[in-house]
Amino acid sequence: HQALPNRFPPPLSVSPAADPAVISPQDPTLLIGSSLVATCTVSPDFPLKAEDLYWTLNGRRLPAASYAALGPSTLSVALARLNGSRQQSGDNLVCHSRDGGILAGSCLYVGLPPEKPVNITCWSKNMKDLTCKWAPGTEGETFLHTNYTLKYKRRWYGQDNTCQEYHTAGTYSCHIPKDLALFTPYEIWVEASNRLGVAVSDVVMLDILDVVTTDPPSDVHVSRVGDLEDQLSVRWSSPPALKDFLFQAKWCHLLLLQVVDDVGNQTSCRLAGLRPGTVYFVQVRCNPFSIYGSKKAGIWSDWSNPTAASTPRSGTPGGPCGQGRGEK
Amino acid sequence: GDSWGIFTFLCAALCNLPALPALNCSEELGAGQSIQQTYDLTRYLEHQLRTLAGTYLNYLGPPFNEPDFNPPRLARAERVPSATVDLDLWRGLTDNARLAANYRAYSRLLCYLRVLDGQVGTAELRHRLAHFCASLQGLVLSIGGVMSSLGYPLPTGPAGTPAPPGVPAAPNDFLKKMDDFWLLKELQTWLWRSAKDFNRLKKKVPPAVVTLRLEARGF
Repeated sequence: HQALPNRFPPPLSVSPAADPAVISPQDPTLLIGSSLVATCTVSPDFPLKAEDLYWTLNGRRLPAASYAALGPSTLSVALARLNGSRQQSGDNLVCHSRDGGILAGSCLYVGLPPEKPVNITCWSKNMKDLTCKWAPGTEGETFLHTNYTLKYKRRWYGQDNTCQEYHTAGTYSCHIPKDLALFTPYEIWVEASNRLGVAVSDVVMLDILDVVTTDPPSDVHVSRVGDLEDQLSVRWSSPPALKDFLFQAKWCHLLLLQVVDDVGNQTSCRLAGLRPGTVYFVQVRCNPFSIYGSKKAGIWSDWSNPTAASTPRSGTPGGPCGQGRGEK
Repeated sequence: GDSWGIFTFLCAALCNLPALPALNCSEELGAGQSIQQTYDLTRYLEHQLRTLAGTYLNYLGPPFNEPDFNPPRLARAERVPSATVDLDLWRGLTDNARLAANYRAYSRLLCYLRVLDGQVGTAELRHRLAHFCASLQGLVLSIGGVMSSLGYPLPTGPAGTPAPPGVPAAPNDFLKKMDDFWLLKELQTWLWRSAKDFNRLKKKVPPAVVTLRLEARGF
């Protein structure tokens, strides 16, 4: 530490008396590709002239060819065809004195207005809440901080509601925890806004009961069936939330070797036609079916974590080690 | 290590629950151990701050994230308490004054950091800031604990009150970036200084005091 011997810890800097200069425009918002002329005017208290000044943008010195002295202590700079801001906090345009000192700065927000958010999908885990996710409309990015607001209202009833709990299922998601009605259509949409504008997605209409899903089944166990070489037995537990409902899960899909095997409302099944001496990874998922007698399927849950088991192999051992790598 | 972070985070989280009375998480430990733990906390926070500052300065963009960036500190109200003090004065501080200076500084710094938290753009940054604030809250409580166990009154004005009135917000976005830069710098300097403060305190609180206090509490 090159500190003055009697100051501890070493002081961070020396403060001048007043704001040394003023930049105009201060913190402008601009469309990509637009041009800008900014001016730096030194305060009368400071003995600096236009020729003592220079500009930097995001730390890089701007060419003197783009400067013009507009007065004895005012220097301008011309910026053409601006690219999108390097950081969302704004590009740093800074007016310096000859020795590198900072006199003033302005944050440039250069970007694009948002595009309509798309692909809104929603689901309810317990028929009381709703989680929705969406995708931003822009293929690239807007370069500006963009706020997303999810709104919903009951169809034919006036009041718009705003979702409050964001990022529950990824960046572009929101969770509505309560006060939702069943047997009634909801209109749901997402508004994207940034400094350059607003964009509203198309409206999605749904009834909570149409989008019910569950957690995946728990306690998935896979075991051999005696000495049978081509069969495995799978058992699982119905996810706990389903027991509270007025229905039972009637279907559980089993996906094995890309073959779908409907199981109905049991919590076990047997896989046949397997290869002997092979490790298999098994996953199970669930679909709440026939909610309140609707005879419609809901949304499939996620797959349970893979559980592994191997079929027995009779006859002489041998052959390559690690045979029969798992097939999903 | 990491377990310290979790401990302080839990402490801070618990202590933020409105229903509970202010918990003094280090009361049971005795002054000597509390001082050691507070020292450890400042080192942990120093480490955390390095990552947070790096991320935040990258968010502000160049030149703020350049290693040699050293702007003038423009003369607005000195809202962030300065750690710098005359060396002889620092040496001569009483234990009470030393602890109180730390307590006040971090309480103020915490307020300003919390304001920052509400404004910052990216989710990652908000998350890091929230984590750091929780740890910093833990430090304030820890210092308070040391003061209580040594019989000193806590400086008035509870931690977590909003920024003191009369300190204007930055008039433009660039000056706000400068304020944020200086906030991080002052935090860094304070943590560096606090390690030395608590090292000094460690030497002055003899183990005998610790034993006495434990006996007095019927351990």
